Amino acid sequence: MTAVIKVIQAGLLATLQDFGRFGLLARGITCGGPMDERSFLWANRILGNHFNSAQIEVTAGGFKAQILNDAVFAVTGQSGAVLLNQQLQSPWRSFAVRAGDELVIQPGQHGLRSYLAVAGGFSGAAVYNSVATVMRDGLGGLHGDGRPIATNDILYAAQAEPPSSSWSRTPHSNLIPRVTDRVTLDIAAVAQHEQFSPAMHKRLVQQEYTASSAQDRMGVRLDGHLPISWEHEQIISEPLPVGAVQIPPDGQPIVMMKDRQTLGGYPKIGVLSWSGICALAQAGPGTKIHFNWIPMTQAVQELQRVYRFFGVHG
Amino acid sequence: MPAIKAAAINAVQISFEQRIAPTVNDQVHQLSHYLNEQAPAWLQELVPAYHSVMVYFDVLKASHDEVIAAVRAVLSNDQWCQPLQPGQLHQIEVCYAPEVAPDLARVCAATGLSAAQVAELHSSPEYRVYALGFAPQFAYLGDVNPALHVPRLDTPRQRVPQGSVAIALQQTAIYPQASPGGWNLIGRASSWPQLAPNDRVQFQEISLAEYQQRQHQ
Repeated sequence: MTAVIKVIQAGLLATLQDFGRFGLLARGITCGGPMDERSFLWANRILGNHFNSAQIEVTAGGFKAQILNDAVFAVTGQSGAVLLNQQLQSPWRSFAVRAGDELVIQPGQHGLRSYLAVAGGFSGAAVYNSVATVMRDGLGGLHGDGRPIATNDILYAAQAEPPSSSWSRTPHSNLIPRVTDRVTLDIAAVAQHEQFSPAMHKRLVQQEYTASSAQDRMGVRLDGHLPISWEHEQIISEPLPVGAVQIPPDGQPIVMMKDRQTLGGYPKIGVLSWSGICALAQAGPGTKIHFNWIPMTQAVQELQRVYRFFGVHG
Repeated sequence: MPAIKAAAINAVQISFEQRIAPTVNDQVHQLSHYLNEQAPAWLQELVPAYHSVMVYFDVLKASHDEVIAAVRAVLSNDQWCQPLQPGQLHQIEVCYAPEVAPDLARVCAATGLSAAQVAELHSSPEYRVYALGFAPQFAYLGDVNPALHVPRLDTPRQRVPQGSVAIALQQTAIYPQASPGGWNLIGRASSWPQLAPNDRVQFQEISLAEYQQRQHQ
Protein backbone atom coordinates (compact mmCIF):
# COMPACT_ATOMS: atom_id res chain seq x y z
CA MET A 1 0.00 0.00 0.00
CA THR A 2 1.27 3.44 -0.87
CA ALA A 3 0.25 6.77 0.62
CA VAL A 4 -1.15 8.64 -2.35
CA ILE A 5 -2.79 11.85 -1.16
CA LYS A 6 -3.06 14.08 1.87
CA VAL A 7 -6.34 15.97 2.02
CA ILE A 8 -5.89 19.73 2.33
CA GLN A 9 -9.58 20.54 1.98
CA ALA A 10 -12.43 18.04 1.80
CA GLY A 11 -15.06 20.50 0.58
CA LEU A 12 -18.73 20.21 1.48
CA LEU A 13 -18.63 16.42 1.76
CA ALA A 14 -16.19 13.80 0.53
CA THR A 15 -16.73 10.12 1.26
CA LEU A 16 -14.92 6.92 0.41
CA GLN A 17 -17.19 4.67 -1.65
CA ASP A 18 -16.81 1.31 -3.29
CA PHE A 19 -19.72 -0.14 -5.27
CA GLY A 20 -21.66 -0.85 -2.05
CA ARG A 21 -22.28 -3.05 0.99
CA PHE A 22 -24.61 -5.83 -0.09
CA GLY A 23 -26.37 -8.81 1.42
CA LEU A 24 -27.31 -7.07 4.68
CA LEU A 25 -30.63 -5.35 3.98
CA ALA A 26 -32.40 -7.97 6.14
CA ARG A 27 -30.37 -6.67 9.08
CA GLY A 28 -31.34 -3.05 8.48
CA ILE A 29 -27.96 -2.24 6.90
CA THR A 30 -28.27 -0.22 3.72
CA CYS A 31 -25.95 -0.49 0.73
CA GLY A 32 -24.35 2.96 0.42
CA GLY A 33 -22.04 3.21 -2.58
CA PRO A 34 -21.77 5.80 -5.35
CA MET A 35 -24.81 7.99 -5.92
CA ASP A 36 -23.88 8.31 -9.63
CA GLU A 37 -22.96 4.77 -10.64
CA ARG A 38 -22.36 5.74 -14.26
CA SER A 39 -19.54 8.14 -13.33
CA PHE A 40 -18.13 5.76 -10.72
CA LEU A 41 -18.05 2.76 -13.08
CA TRP A 42 -16.45 4.83 -15.86
CA ALA A 43 -13.70 6.07 -13.55
CA ASN A 44 -12.74 2.51 -12.64
CA ARG A 45 -12.94 1.38 -16.26
CA ILE A 46 -10.76 4.26 -17.46
CA LEU A 47 -8.06 3.20 -14.99
CA GLY A 48 -8.38 -0.53 -15.63
CA ASN A 49 -9.59 -1.03 -12.04
CA HIS A 50 -11.96 -3.71 -10.75
CA PHE A 51 -15.49 -2.30 -10.93
CA ASN A 52 -15.66 -2.31 -7.10
CA SER A 53 -12.43 -0.33 -6.48
CA ALA A 54 -12.98 2.45 -3.97
CA GLN A 55 -13.04 6.10 -5.01
CA ILE A 56 -13.63 9.45 -3.34
CA GLU A 57 -17.11 10.85 -3.99
CA VAL A 58 -16.69 14.63 -3.89
CA THR A 59 -19.88 16.63 -3.31
CA ALA A 60 -20.07 20.11 -4.78
CA GLY A 61 -16.33 20.44 -5.35
CA GLY A 62 -14.00 22.44 -3.17
CA PHE A 63 -11.70 19.43 -2.80
CA LYS A 64 -7.98 19.98 -2.54
CA ALA A 65 -5.24 17.41 -2.01
CA GLN A 66 -1.49 17.13 -2.01
CA ILE A 67 -0.01 14.20 -3.93
CA LEU A 68 2.39 12.12 -1.82
CA ASN A 69 3.56 9.57 -4.40
CA ASP A 70 3.42 9.07 -8.15
CA ALA A 71 0.09 7.62 -9.25
CA VAL A 72 -2.51 7.62 -12.02
CA PHE A 73 -5.85 9.31 -11.41
CA ALA A 74 -9.12 9.97 -13.16
CA VAL A 75 -11.92 12.36 -12.27
CA THR A 76 -15.43 11.72 -13.60
CA GLY A 77 -18.89 12.94 -12.64
CA GLN A 78 -19.78 16.60 -12.77
CA SER A 79 -17.70 19.30 -11.23
CA GLY A 80 -16.01 22.52 -12.13
CA ALA A 81 -12.42 22.66 -13.28
CA VAL A 82 -10.00 19.90 -12.31
CA LEU A 83 -6.61 21.48 -11.78
CA LEU A 84 -3.25 19.81 -11.28
CA ASN A 85 -0.71 22.40 -10.14
CA GLN A 86 -3.19 24.96 -11.42
CA GLN A 87 -3.17 23.43 -14.91
CA LEU A 88 -6.50 22.35 -16.32
CA GLN A 89 -6.92 18.56 -16.55
CA SER A 90 -9.47 16.88 -18.80
CA PRO A 91 -11.95 14.92 -16.73
CA TRP A 92 -13.15 11.47 -17.87
CA ARG A 93 -9.63 10.36 -18.78
CA SER A 94 -6.60 9.14 -16.84
CA PHE A 95 -3.74 11.44 -15.92
CA ALA A 96 -0.44 10.90 -14.15
CA VAL A 97 0.35 12.70 -10.90
CA ARG A 98 3.73 13.05 -9.18
CA ALA A 99 4.76 13.44 -5.56
CA GLY A 100 4.45 17.11 -4.62
CA ASP A 101 1.66 17.91 -7.08
CA GLU A 102 -1.51 19.64 -5.91
CA LEU A 103 -4.94 18.56 -7.15
CA VAL A 104 -8.01 20.76 -6.97
CA ILE A 105 -11.59 19.88 -7.94
CA GLN A 106 -13.57 23.06 -8.16
CA PRO A 107 -17.33 23.40 -7.72
CA GLY A 108 -19.23 23.47 -11.01
CA GLN A 109 -22.17 25.53 -12.11
CA HIS A 110 -24.29 22.45 -12.69
CA GLY A 111 -23.97 18.93 -11.37
CA LEU A 112 -23.27 17.90 -7.82
CA ARG A 113 -20.91 14.94 -7.49
CA SER A 114 -17.55 13.98 -8.92
CA TYR A 115 -15.46 10.88 -8.46
CA LEU A 116 -11.70 10.88 -7.83
CA ALA A 117 -10.29 7.46 -8.65
CA VAL A 118 -6.74 6.11 -8.46
CA ALA A 119 -5.28 3.16 -10.35
CA GLY A 120 -5.54 0.25 -7.88
CA GLY A 121 -8.30 1.88 -5.84
CA PHE A 122 -8.20 3.68 -2.49
CA SER A 123 -7.99 1.66 0.74
CA GLY A 124 -10.18 1.77 3.81
CA ALA A 125 -11.04 -0.43 6.81
CA ALA A 126 -13.67 -2.73 5.31
CA VAL A 127 -16.79 -3.41 7.36
CA TYR A 128 -18.93 -6.35 6.19
CA ASN A 129 -16.61 -6.56 3.16
CA SER A 130 -17.12 -2.98 2.02
CA VAL A 131 -15.62 0.47 2.61
CA ALA A 132 -18.77 2.23 1.38
CA THR A 133 -19.37 5.13 3.79
CA VAL A 134 -22.84 5.31 5.32
CA MET A 135 -22.68 8.11 7.87
CA ARG A 136 -26.05 7.49 9.50
CA ASP A 137 -25.17 3.83 10.07
CA GLY A 138 -21.65 4.63 11.30
CA LEU A 139 -20.18 2.16 8.80
CA GLY A 140 -17.46 2.35 6.20
CA GLY A 141 -14.96 5.03 5.25
CA LEU A 142 -11.25 5.15 6.01
CA HIS A 143 -11.63 3.80 9.55
CA GLY A 144 -14.84 1.75 9.29
CA ASP A 145 -16.89 4.10 11.46
CA GLY A 146 -18.82 5.95 8.77
CA ARG A 147 -16.91 9.23 9.01
CA PRO A 148 -16.49 11.31 5.87
CA ILE A 149 -13.03 12.23 4.57
CA ALA A 150 -11.53 15.16 6.47
CA THR A 151 -8.67 17.64 6.26
CA ASN A 152 -5.28 16.00 6.92
CA ASP A 153 -6.56 12.51 6.09
CA ILE A 154 -4.02 10.44 4.22
CA LEU A 155 -5.37 8.04 1.65
CA TYR A 156 -3.56 4.94 0.46
CA ALA A 157 -3.86 3.13 -2.83
CA ALA A 158 -4.32 -0.62 -2.57
CA GLN A 159 -1.67 -1.14 -5.22
CA ALA A 160 0.34 1.23 -7.32
CA GLU A 161 1.14 0.08 -10.85
CA PRO A 162 3.12 1.99 -13.40
CA PRO A 163 0.97 3.71 -16.01
CA SER A 164 0.36 1.75 -19.17
CA SER A 165 -0.60 2.92 -22.63
CA SER A 166 -3.88 1.01 -22.37
CA TRP A 167 -4.91 3.43 -19.65
CA SER A 168 -5.81 6.29 -21.89
CA ARG A 169 -9.30 4.85 -22.22
CA THR A 170 -11.93 7.51 -22.27
CA PRO A 171 -15.58 7.15 -23.15
CA HIS A 172 -16.83 8.52 -26.43
CA SER A 173 -17.94 12.08 -25.81
CA ASN A 174 -21.57 11.21 -26.47
CA LEU A 175 -21.49 8.79 -23.52
CA ILE A 176 -20.45 11.52 -21.11
CA PRO A 177 -23.62 13.07 -19.72
CA ARG A 178 -23.99 16.80 -20.13
CA VAL A 179 -25.50 18.22 -16.98
CA THR A 180 -27.59 21.34 -17.16
CA ASP A 181 -30.19 22.92 -14.92
CA ARG A 182 -32.94 20.53 -16.02
CA VAL A 183 -33.21 16.76 -16.16
CA THR A 184 -35.74 14.09 -17.15
CA LEU A 185 -36.01 11.01 -14.96
CA ASP A 186 -37.35 7.75 -16.38
CA ILE A 187 -39.66 5.99 -13.92
CA ALA A 188 -41.30 2.54 -14.01
CA ALA A 189 -44.56 1.59 -12.28
CA VAL A 190 -44.18 -0.64 -9.19
CA ALA A 191 -45.58 -1.07 -5.67
CA GLN A 192 -48.68 1.03 -4.98
CA HIS A 193 -48.73 2.50 -8.51
CA GLU A 194 -52.15 1.06 -9.37
CA GLN A 195 -53.69 2.50 -6.22
CA PHE A 196 -52.84 6.04 -7.28
CA SER A 197 -55.43 7.42 -9.69
CA PRO A 198 -54.73 7.79 -13.44
CA ALA A 199 -54.97 11.53 -12.84
CA MET A 200 -52.05 11.28 -10.41
CA HIS A 201 -50.02 9.16 -12.86
CA LYS A 202 -50.52 11.93 -15.37
CA ARG A 203 -49.85 14.73 -12.89
CA LEU A 204 -46.48 13.23 -11.98
CA VAL A 205 -45.23 13.46 -15.56
CA GLN A 206 -46.99 16.63 -16.62
CA GLN A 207 -45.78 19.04 -14.00
CA GLU A 208 -42.30 20.37 -13.46
CA TYR A 209 -40.59 19.54 -10.18
CA THR A 210 -37.68 21.30 -8.53
CA ALA A 211 -34.99 19.45 -6.61
CA SER A 212 -35.16 20.96 -3.14
CA SER A 213 -32.30 21.63 -0.77
CA ALA A 214 -33.79 18.89 1.46
CA GLN A 215 -31.58 16.28 -0.11
CA ASP A 216 -28.67 14.10 0.90
CA ARG A 217 -27.39 10.59 0.27
CA MET A 218 -30.56 9.15 1.85
CA GLY A 219 -33.02 10.85 -0.44
CA VAL A 220 -34.05 13.84 -2.51
CA ARG A 221 -37.23 15.77 -1.86
CA LEU A 222 -38.87 17.26 -4.91
CA ASP A 223 -41.25 20.21 -4.92
CA GLY A 224 -44.13 20.38 -7.39
CA HIS A 225 -46.97 22.82 -7.68
CA LEU A 226 -49.75 20.25 -7.17
CA PRO A 227 -49.53 17.44 -4.62
CA ILE A 228 -49.79 13.76 -5.59
CA SER A 229 -52.69 12.51 -3.50
CA TRP A 230 -53.06 9.12 -1.86
CA GLU A 231 -56.65 8.22 -1.07
CA HIS A 232 -56.10 5.04 0.95
CA GLU A 233 -55.00 3.96 4.40
CA GLN A 234 -51.42 4.05 5.59
CA ILE A 235 -49.48 1.11 4.25
CA ILE A 236 -47.53 -1.33 6.40
CA SER A 237 -43.77 -0.71 6.26
CA GLU A 238 -42.21 -2.76 3.50
CA PRO A 239 -38.79 -3.08 1.86
CA LEU A 240 -37.63 0.09 0.10
CA PRO A 241 -35.54 -0.14 -3.09
CA VAL A 242 -33.04 2.52 -4.18
CA GLY A 243 -34.79 4.83 -6.65
CA ALA A 244 -38.22 4.35 -5.08
CA VAL A 245 -40.43 7.44 -5.40
CA GLN A 246 -42.30 7.71 -2.10
CA ILE A 247 -45.33 9.97 -1.70
CA PRO A 248 -45.61 11.23 1.90
CA PRO A 249 -48.79 12.83 3.29
CA ASP A 250 -47.96 16.28 1.86
CA GLY A 251 -47.91 14.86 -1.69
CA GLN A 252 -44.38 15.97 -2.58
CA PRO A 253 -42.25 13.09 -3.86
CA ILE A 254 -39.17 11.87 -2.02
CA VAL A 255 -36.81 9.75 -4.12
CA MET A 256 -34.82 7.24 -2.08
CA MET A 257 -31.09 7.08 -2.78
CA LYS A 258 -28.11 4.97 -1.69
CA ASP A 259 -28.21 5.58 2.10
CA ARG A 260 -31.98 5.07 2.38
CA GLN A 261 -33.41 3.12 5.30
CA THR A 262 -34.26 -0.44 4.38
CA LEU A 263 -37.99 -0.40 5.20
CA GLY A 264 -40.43 2.43 4.43
CA GLY A 265 -44.03 3.22 5.28
CA TYR A 266 -45.03 5.72 2.59
CA PRO A 267 -46.77 4.58 -0.61
CA LYS A 268 -44.55 4.39 -3.69
CA ILE A 269 -45.77 5.46 -7.13
CA GLY A 270 -42.81 4.05 -9.03
CA VAL A 271 -39.07 3.46 -9.14
CA LEU A 272 -36.44 5.34 -11.17
CA SER A 273 -34.43 3.65 -13.90
CA TRP A 274 -30.68 3.23 -13.39
CA SER A 275 -29.93 6.30 -15.52
CA GLY A 276 -32.63 8.20 -13.63
CA ILE A 277 -30.82 7.58 -10.34
CA CYS A 278 -27.49 8.59 -11.89
CA ALA A 279 -29.06 11.80 -13.24
CA LEU A 280 -30.76 12.66 -9.94
CA ALA A 281 -27.41 12.19 -8.17
CA GLN A 282 -26.23 15.22 -10.17
CA ALA A 283 -29.31 17.37 -9.53
CA GLY A 284 -28.34 20.04 -7.06
CA PRO A 285 -30.99 22.19 -5.38
CA GLY A 286 -32.92 24.22 -7.94
CA THR A 287 -32.57 21.70 -10.77
CA LYS A 288 -35.78 21.36 -12.77
CA ILE A 289 -37.03 17.79 -12.95
CA HIS A 290 -39.51 16.03 -15.20
CA PHE A 291 -40.61 12.44 -14.83
CA ASN A 292 -41.23 10.17 -17.80
CA TRP A 293 -43.08 6.83 -17.54
CA ILE A 294 -41.25 3.92 -19.15
CA PRO A 295 -42.10 0.22 -19.24
CA MET A 296 -40.23 -1.92 -16.72
CA THR A 297 -38.73 -3.96 -19.58
CA GLN A 298 -36.92 -0.87 -20.83
CA ALA A 299 -35.44 -0.22 -17.38
CA VAL A 300 -34.35 -3.85 -17.10
CA GLN A 301 -32.69 -3.85 -20.52
CA GLU A 302 -30.76 -0.73 -19.62
CA LEU A 303 -29.48 -2.24 -16.36
CA GLN A 304 -28.49 -5.48 -18.07
CA ARG A 305 -26.60 -3.57 -20.78
CA VAL A 306 -24.80 -1.42 -18.22
CA TYR A 307 -23.83 -4.26 -15.89
CA ARG A 308 -22.61 -6.37 -18.80
CA PHE A 309 -20.55 -3.50 -20.19
CA PHE A 310 -18.86 -2.69 -16.89
CA GLY A 311 -18.56 -6.32 -15.75
CA VAL A 312 -20.64 -5.77 -12.61
CA HIS A 313 -21.28 -9.05 -10.84
CA GLY A 314 -21.69 -10.62 -7.43
CA MET B 1 -51.54 -17.25 -3.37
CA PRO B 2 -49.96 -14.00 -2.15
CA ALA B 3 -49.30 -11.17 -4.61
CA ILE B 4 -45.96 -11.54 -6.42
CA LYS B 5 -44.90 -8.52 -8.46
CA ALA B 6 -41.89 -6.65 -9.82
CA ALA B 7 -40.93 -4.19 -7.08
CA ALA B 8 -37.69 -2.75 -8.42
CA ILE B 9 -35.63 -3.17 -11.58
CA ASN B 10 -33.82 -6.06 -9.92
CA ALA B 11 -36.38 -7.24 -7.38
CA VAL B 12 -39.71 -8.95 -6.92
CA GLN B 13 -41.91 -8.56 -3.83
CA ILE B 14 -44.17 -11.21 -2.32
CA SER B 15 -46.96 -9.69 -0.23
CA PHE B 16 -49.00 -11.84 2.11
CA GLU B 17 -52.15 -10.65 3.89
CA GLN B 18 -51.88 -6.93 4.70
CA ARG B 19 -51.86 -7.24 8.48
CA ILE B 20 -49.29 -7.00 11.24
CA ALA B 21 -49.87 -10.39 12.87
CA PRO B 22 -47.71 -13.27 14.04
CA THR B 23 -49.30 -15.78 11.65
CA VAL B 24 -48.67 -13.55 8.63
CA ASN B 25 -45.12 -12.75 9.78
CA ASP B 26 -44.48 -16.49 10.25
CA GLN B 27 -45.19 -16.97 6.53
CA VAL B 28 -42.73 -14.21 5.66
CA HIS B 29 -39.92 -15.83 7.63
CA GLN B 30 -40.77 -19.36 6.50
CA LEU B 31 -40.63 -18.31 2.86
CA SER B 32 -37.37 -16.35 3.37
CA HIS B 33 -35.80 -19.27 5.15
CA TYR B 34 -36.88 -21.70 2.42
CA LEU B 35 -35.61 -19.51 -0.44
CA ASN B 36 -32.32 -18.94 1.37
CA GLU B 37 -31.89 -22.71 1.76
CA GLN B 38 -32.80 -23.36 -1.89
CA ALA B 39 -30.31 -20.67 -2.93
CA PRO B 40 -31.29 -20.34 -6.60
CA ALA B 41 -28.40 -19.09 -8.76
CA TRP B 42 -30.15 -15.77 -9.43
CA LEU B 43 -30.84 -14.95 -5.76
CA GLN B 44 -28.86 -11.99 -4.35
CA GLU B 45 -30.64 -11.19 -1.12
CA LEU B 46 -33.96 -11.34 0.68
CA VAL B 47 -35.52 -8.59 2.77
CA PRO B 48 -38.29 -9.84 5.05
CA ALA B 49 -40.64 -7.26 6.57
CA TYR B 50 -43.97 -7.58 8.40
CA HIS B 51 -46.11 -9.15 5.70
CA SER B 52 -43.83 -8.90 2.65
CA VAL B 53 -40.52 -10.20 1.34
CA MET B 54 -38.38 -8.44 -1.27
CA VAL B 55 -36.34 -10.81 -3.42
CA TYR B 56 -33.33 -9.15 -5.10
CA PHE B 57 -31.99 -11.07 -8.08
CA ASP B 58 -29.15 -10.88 -10.57
CA VAL B 59 -30.64 -9.30 -13.73
CA LEU B 60 -27.97 -11.03 -15.81
CA LYS B 61 -29.17 -14.45 -14.62
CA ALA B 62 -32.96 -14.13 -14.59
CA SER B 63 -35.91 -11.95 -15.55
CA HIS B 64 -38.79 -10.78 -13.37
CA ASP B 65 -41.06 -13.33 -15.04
CA GLU B 66 -38.65 -16.19 -14.30
CA VAL B 67 -38.28 -15.18 -10.65
CA ILE B 68 -42.04 -14.75 -10.25
CA ALA B 69 -42.64 -18.17 -11.80
CA ALA B 70 -40.05 -19.76 -9.51
CA VAL B 71 -41.58 -18.18 -6.41
CA ARG B 72 -45.08 -19.19 -7.53
CA ALA B 73 -43.86 -22.77 -7.92
CA VAL B 74 -42.45 -22.70 -4.39
CA LEU B 75 -45.68 -21.32 -2.97
CA SER B 76 -47.88 -23.83 -4.78
CA ASN B 77 -47.00 -26.69 -2.46
CA ASP B 78 -46.47 -27.01 1.27
CA GLN B 79 -42.72 -27.53 1.40
CA TRP B 80 -41.97 -23.89 2.16
CA CYS B 81 -44.20 -23.52 5.24
CA GLN B 82 -42.18 -25.70 7.58
CA PRO B 83 -42.68 -24.30 11.07
CA LEU B 84 -39.45 -22.58 12.01
CA GLN B 85 -37.58 -23.11 15.22
CA PRO B 86 -38.73 -20.24 17.40
CA GLY B 87 -35.81 -17.86 17.46
CA GLN B 88 -33.72 -17.33 20.55
CA LEU B 89 -35.38 -15.84 23.62
CA HIS B 90 -33.58 -12.76 24.94
CA GLN B 91 -34.13 -11.11 28.32
CA ILE B 92 -33.42 -7.39 28.15
CA GLU B 93 -33.28 -5.15 31.22
CA VAL B 94 -35.23 -1.90 30.95
CA CYS B 95 -35.47 1.03 33.33
CA TYR B 96 -38.91 2.69 33.19
CA ALA B 97 -38.09 5.65 35.46
CA PRO B 98 -39.26 9.07 34.22
CA GLU B 99 -35.63 10.29 34.17
CA VAL B 100 -35.02 8.01 31.18
CA ALA B 101 -38.57 7.95 29.83
CA PRO B 102 -39.54 11.41 28.56
CA ASP B 103 -42.90 10.26 27.17
CA LEU B 104 -43.97 8.22 30.21
CA ALA B 105 -46.24 10.91 31.62
CA ARG B 106 -47.87 11.47 28.24
CA VAL B 107 -48.44 7.73 27.74
CA CYS B 108 -50.03 7.51 31.21
CA ALA B 109 -52.34 10.40 30.38
CA ALA B 110 -53.28 8.90 27.01
CA THR B 111 -53.99 5.41 28.37
CA GLY B 112 -55.24 6.14 31.89
CA LEU B 113 -52.57 3.80 33.27
CA SER B 114 -50.16 4.49 36.13
CA ALA B 115 -46.41 4.43 35.47
CA ALA B 116 -46.20 1.13 37.35
CA GLN B 117 -48.94 -0.36 35.15
CA VAL B 118 -47.18 0.83 31.97
CA ALA B 119 -43.99 -0.92 33.10
CA GLU B 120 -45.94 -4.06 34.06
CA LEU B 121 -47.88 -4.24 30.77
CA HIS B 122 -44.80 -3.50 28.65
CA SER B 123 -42.59 -6.10 30.38
CA SER B 124 -45.09 -8.96 30.55
CA PRO B 125 -45.34 -10.25 26.99
CA GLU B 126 -42.82 -12.26 25.06
CA TYR B 127 -42.45 -10.12 21.92
CA ARG B 128 -41.47 -11.44 18.53
CA VAL B 129 -38.94 -9.74 16.26
CA TYR B 130 -41.08 -9.01 13.21
CA ALA B 131 -38.31 -7.52 11.12
CA LEU B 132 -35.09 -5.53 11.21
CA GLY B 133 -35.01 -2.21 9.44
CA PHE B 134 -34.94 1.60 9.79
CA ALA B 135 -31.32 1.38 11.01
CA PRO B 136 -28.78 -1.39 11.63
CA GLN B 137 -29.97 -3.56 14.53
CA PHE B 138 -33.29 -1.71 14.83
CA ALA B 139 -35.73 -4.56 15.58
CA TYR B 140 -39.48 -4.07 15.18
CA LEU B 141 -41.05 -5.99 18.10
CA GLY B 142 -44.68 -6.84 18.68
CA ASP B 143 -47.37 -7.11 19.83
CA VAL B 144 -47.83 -4.54 22.57
CA ASN B 145 -50.85 -5.01 24.85
CA PRO B 146 -53.83 -3.09 23.36
CA ALA B 147 -54.26 -1.15 26.63
CA LEU B 148 -50.85 0.39 25.93
CA HIS B 149 -51.42 1.38 22.29
CA VAL B 150 -50.37 5.02 21.72
CA PRO B 151 -49.81 6.43 18.22
CA ARG B 152 -46.51 7.87 16.98
CA LEU B 153 -45.63 11.47 17.85
CA ASP B 154 -47.02 14.05 15.40
CA THR B 155 -43.56 15.52 15.05
CA PRO B 156 -40.65 13.12 15.46
CA ARG B 157 -37.85 14.02 17.88
CA GLN B 158 -34.65 15.22 16.23
CA ARG B 159 -32.66 13.01 18.58
CA VAL B 160 -33.68 9.94 20.54
CA PRO B 161 -31.00 8.81 23.04
CA GLN B 162 -29.27 5.52 22.33
CA GLY B 163 -30.95 2.60 24.11
CA SER B 164 -34.34 4.29 24.34
CA VAL B 165 -37.20 1.80 24.60
CA ALA B 166 -40.20 3.03 22.66
CA ILE B 167 -43.74 2.13 21.69
CA ALA B 168 -45.99 3.03 18.74
CA LEU B 169 -49.39 1.28 18.68
CA GLN B 170 -48.73 -2.45 18.61
CA GLN B 171 -44.99 -2.07 17.97
CA THR B 172 -42.13 -1.64 20.39
CA ALA B 173 -38.39 -1.28 19.83
CA ILE B 174 -35.03 -0.28 21.27
CA TYR B 175 -33.29 2.51 19.38
CA PRO B 176 -29.82 0.98 18.96
CA GLN B 177 -28.18 4.33 18.18
CA ALA B 178 -29.10 7.93 18.79
CA SER B 179 -31.19 8.98 15.80
CA PRO B 180 -34.31 10.94 14.91
CA GLY B 181 -37.40 9.03 16.02
CA GLY B 182 -41.15 9.34 16.24
CA TRP B 183 -42.08 6.66 18.78
CA ASN B 184 -43.05 7.18 22.46
CA LEU B 185 -40.07 6.81 24.79
CA ILE B 186 -41.06 4.83 27.88
CA GLY B 187 -37.73 3.48 29.11
CA ARG B 188 -34.04 2.90 28.53
CA ALA B 189 -31.97 -0.25 28.13
CA SER B 190 -28.27 -0.20 29.01
CA SER B 191 -27.38 -3.19 26.87
CA TRP B 192 -29.06 -5.46 24.39
CA PRO B 193 -28.04 -8.40 22.23
CA GLN B 194 -28.00 -8.59 18.46
CA LEU B 195 -31.51 -9.61 17.44
CA ALA B 196 -32.58 -11.65 14.43
CA PRO B 197 -35.99 -11.89 12.81
CA ASN B 198 -38.27 -14.39 14.59
CA ASP B 199 -36.30 -14.10 17.86
CA ARG B 200 -38.29 -13.50 21.06
CA VAL B 201 -37.71 -10.69 23.53
CA GLN B 202 -38.87 -10.27 27.12
CA PHE B 203 -38.18 -7.05 28.98
CA GLN B 204 -37.24 -7.12 32.67
CA GLU B 205 -37.85 -4.04 34.77
CA ILE B 206 -34.88 -2.66 36.69
CA SER B 207 -34.70 0.38 38.96
CA LEU B 208 -32.99 3.66 38.11
CA ALA B 209 -30.21 2.82 40.59
CA GLU B 210 -29.64 -0.54 38.94
CA TYR B 211 -29.68 1.10 35.48
CA GLN B 212 -27.09 3.67 36.55
CA GLN B 213 -24.96 0.89 38.02
CA ARG B 214 -25.09 -0.99 34.68
CA GLN B 215 -24.03 2.18 32.87
CA HIS B 216 -20.88 2.43 35.00
CA GLN B 217 -19.83 -1.16 34.42
